[in-house]
Amino acid sequence: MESTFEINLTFWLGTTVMLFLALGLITTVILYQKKFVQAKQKEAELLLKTALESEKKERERIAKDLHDSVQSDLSAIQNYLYMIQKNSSANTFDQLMEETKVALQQTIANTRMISYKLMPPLLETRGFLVAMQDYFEQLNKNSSVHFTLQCNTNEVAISTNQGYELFRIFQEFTNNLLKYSQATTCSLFIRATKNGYVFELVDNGISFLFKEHYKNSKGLGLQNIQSRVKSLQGSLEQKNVPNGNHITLEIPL
Amino acid sequence: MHAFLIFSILYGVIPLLYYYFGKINRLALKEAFPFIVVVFIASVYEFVGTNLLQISYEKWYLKYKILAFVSIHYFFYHLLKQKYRYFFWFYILCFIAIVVINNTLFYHHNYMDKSSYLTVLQTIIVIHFSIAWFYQLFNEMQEENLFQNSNFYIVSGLFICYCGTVYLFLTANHIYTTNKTVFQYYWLLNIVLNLFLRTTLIVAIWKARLK
Repeated sequence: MESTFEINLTFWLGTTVMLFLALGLITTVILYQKKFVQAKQKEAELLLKTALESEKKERERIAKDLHDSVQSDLSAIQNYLYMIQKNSSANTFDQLMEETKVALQQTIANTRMISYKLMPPLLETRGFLVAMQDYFEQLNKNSSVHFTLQCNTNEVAISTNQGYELFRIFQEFTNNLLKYSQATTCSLFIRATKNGYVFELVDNGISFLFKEHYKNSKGLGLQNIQSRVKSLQGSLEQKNVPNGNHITLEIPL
Repeated sequence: MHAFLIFSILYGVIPLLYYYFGKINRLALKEAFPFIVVVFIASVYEFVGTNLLQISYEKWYLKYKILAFVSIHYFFYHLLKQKYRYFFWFYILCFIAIVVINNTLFYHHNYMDKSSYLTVLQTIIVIHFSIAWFYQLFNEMQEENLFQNSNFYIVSGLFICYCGTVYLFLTANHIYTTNKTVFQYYWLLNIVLNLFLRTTLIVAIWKARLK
């Protein structure tokens, strides 16, 4: 009888204490979360500020590009035409015409580059995969890093908006890679899975702890990557590798 | 009482059905998927095997404990991003050791007692890894809103369910042999907490729906 009482007491006391501890811990976590959400709200405000700042910088860049390239090229063409008008001797005419032609070609190329940087045209017409392949080809031509892309499907079936966000994420990563990593090769692997797509960006450059830098960074690039990943409802992880960097991005369908 | 028991058993099939037929971001539930399947299997078996065919729970308990152990281990192993590997191996060895001891030294013990030893270990694992996950969550400072995180509901459900039932399992055999009628009322705690766990699973899946 006494033993039964003891068992019952143990049961009720033990269960109450355990449940109390469990609920206590979860309540603590939730209360802590409230503080955490406040901190996050501040971060969201910072992100908004970052987005506005990015937009302003982008405008400045476009203005600078237009001023330094297109505008000066057009001014040069204007001068050549002015000179042709004033000095129309047969000797100089051909030379001036040739220089005008070169300046016009330069202007077209510059305009195309500005337009490409703003919104890669292939993204809308041919989709994300082709746009990325084209982007990597451009990088292979203009840099010493060898970029490759491998995909286990013929197309990446995502919307243009998602494609744009993904394109910008990889553009940011590759820009950082070209600036800081001293890598010689960089590969992007794209896998279609049951639940979505997995993108793995692997390089052999200097290791870069993305999340550590993100926490401490005041720059816009990493913040932009994080906010774009959030908008895709994806998850970004950096794998521990002995050399280089291995970044995995997963997005749901 | 019996109807309530049947309801609580069948309630366990809802998470997997919702997972398959709902518009769900399955990526957010990839760690919890095996556990959802185990809950489904347990519900079907308990309804058909234990309730309809009246097969003794004794034949099922070890299989269920192994399935639950593996799926919860898988859940936490991936949730904790494969950290604490030594602890995971240590707990696997502990589990194997308890199963071996149960079948050798304690072979004459009642299956309820044997089951309770495994439940104690499972409770320790759940407490340990839940705290580790909460620590990791706040350490990384990435989660915007905990209430939007599916895994938060699953971890909380497991944490409360295992903490609340560990003493019941430890004293179950004694209460059962003393008074079978009273035991039913004690067992209500297990049913209620299991309902709670299954509800948290459903909420977790609902939170992972594609908007």
